[in-house]
Amino acid sequence: MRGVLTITHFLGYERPDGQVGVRNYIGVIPSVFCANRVAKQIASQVKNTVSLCHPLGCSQVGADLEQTSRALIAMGCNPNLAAVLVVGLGCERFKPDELVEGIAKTGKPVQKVVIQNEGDTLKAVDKGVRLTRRLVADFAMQKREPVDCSRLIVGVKCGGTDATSGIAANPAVGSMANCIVDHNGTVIFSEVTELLGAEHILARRAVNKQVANEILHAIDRTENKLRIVGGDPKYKHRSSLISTGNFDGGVSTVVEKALGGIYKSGSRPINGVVDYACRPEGQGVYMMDSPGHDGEVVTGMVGGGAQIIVFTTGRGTPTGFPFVPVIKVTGNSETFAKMHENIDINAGVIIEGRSTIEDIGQQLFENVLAVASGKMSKAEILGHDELFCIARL
Amino acid sequence: MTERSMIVLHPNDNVAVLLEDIKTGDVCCTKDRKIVAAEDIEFGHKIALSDIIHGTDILKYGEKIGHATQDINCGEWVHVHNIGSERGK
Repeated sequence: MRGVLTITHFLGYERPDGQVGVRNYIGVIPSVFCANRVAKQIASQVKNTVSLCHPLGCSQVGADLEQTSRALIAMGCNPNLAAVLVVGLGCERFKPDELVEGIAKTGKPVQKVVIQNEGDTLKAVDKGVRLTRRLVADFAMQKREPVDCSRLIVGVKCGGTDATSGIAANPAVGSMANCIVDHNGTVIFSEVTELLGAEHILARRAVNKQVANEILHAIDRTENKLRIVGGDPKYKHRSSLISTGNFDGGVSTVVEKALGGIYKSGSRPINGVVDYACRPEGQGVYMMDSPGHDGEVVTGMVGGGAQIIVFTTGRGTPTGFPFVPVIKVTGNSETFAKMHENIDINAGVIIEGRSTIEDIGQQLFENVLAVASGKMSKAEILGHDELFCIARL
Repeated sequence: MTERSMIVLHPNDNVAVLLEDIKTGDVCCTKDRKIVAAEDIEFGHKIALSDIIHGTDILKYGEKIGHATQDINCGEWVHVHNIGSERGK
């Protein structure tokens, strides 16, 4: 790949709204869970198509419904989807037309099939397959074009953390994040529940006072939420966020735990805080206000326009996202040996003294550009798609 | 005397993280530092890089992760038994 790519470019798919996709899928999105089976059947019959099944869209109200509909629209708007088929039931509160209109604002083609209008499952599947196959045919010839890596939005996340994450994998991803930001790209980090205790350090990285306040507010809101749900007096201190496994692994304080996670966002200034599944307005580092569940965080980042996710894991997790490459990095060489079919990069060589944080950071950056240009991540090769889950309020 | 590896995550840090399990008397090394372990310490845990006086900040990643709740000698294990954190409350 090195011979083909210059270090500042990747090969992507230009979209009408100026975003750039790194994949060229057609998305089949149910507006309500009742349409899941029809959506799945349509996608199974047409190549290069992914369905995004979910358990939502019924009996939701207020801010919760608003977040679900925003996130579903945001899925359709992600540039890794060339076009979208919306599958509705017909009586749901979040109207299929709202989903269609929200996605169509990007200028990409959006089609719709509504089960109650078509008559039954078979008729809806038939119409959906015909519409989708036309969309696939329209985009099959689209070519990748060289684009500047400033157009990349990369989400960074950790899960299945162990003692190696904070000393090898996360620092290496942080070094990669710095490379992306130094090339005017964008990095989104989140997992606000994991940031408690280090808010003063994050606020210091804010580009200005307003952003510093937004960071402090987001962390404050999360802490209040935890206080409401956590009635057990055993958990009244922040230190209870540290698990027994964390202590055994060598983590002594809540600040130390948070710092190990924050490390993967690099060291560049934080330019803003965005709400769940909302797109950053500029480039650089952004914090997304989301709790720590692996799938909910990654889905929020994809909604924020991320074309690629870089995911660190010490113990090893195989998960992926239906239309966004997830690149797995471990700091644990044993995990890498055991799960090499699931994990892309071994940062454990830092611990063994065979490489440095900066070298693995650079290797990761180059791998991100290669994956952006079409190289498949291990999670993609094995068809992993578990990380699509929309957070509820 | 066995040589063992450790990592210092920021130049200002007064603790390092051990990259393997160590025994008392082992020499813990980075490229440019050597510390003799004063006790057995497990992989992933912290070792004091200098004498740390009671009340002094414990620095890892270049940031204060807590303070020493007692005097800690160079080469000793640094963990919940000798670190306090006002941010954990």
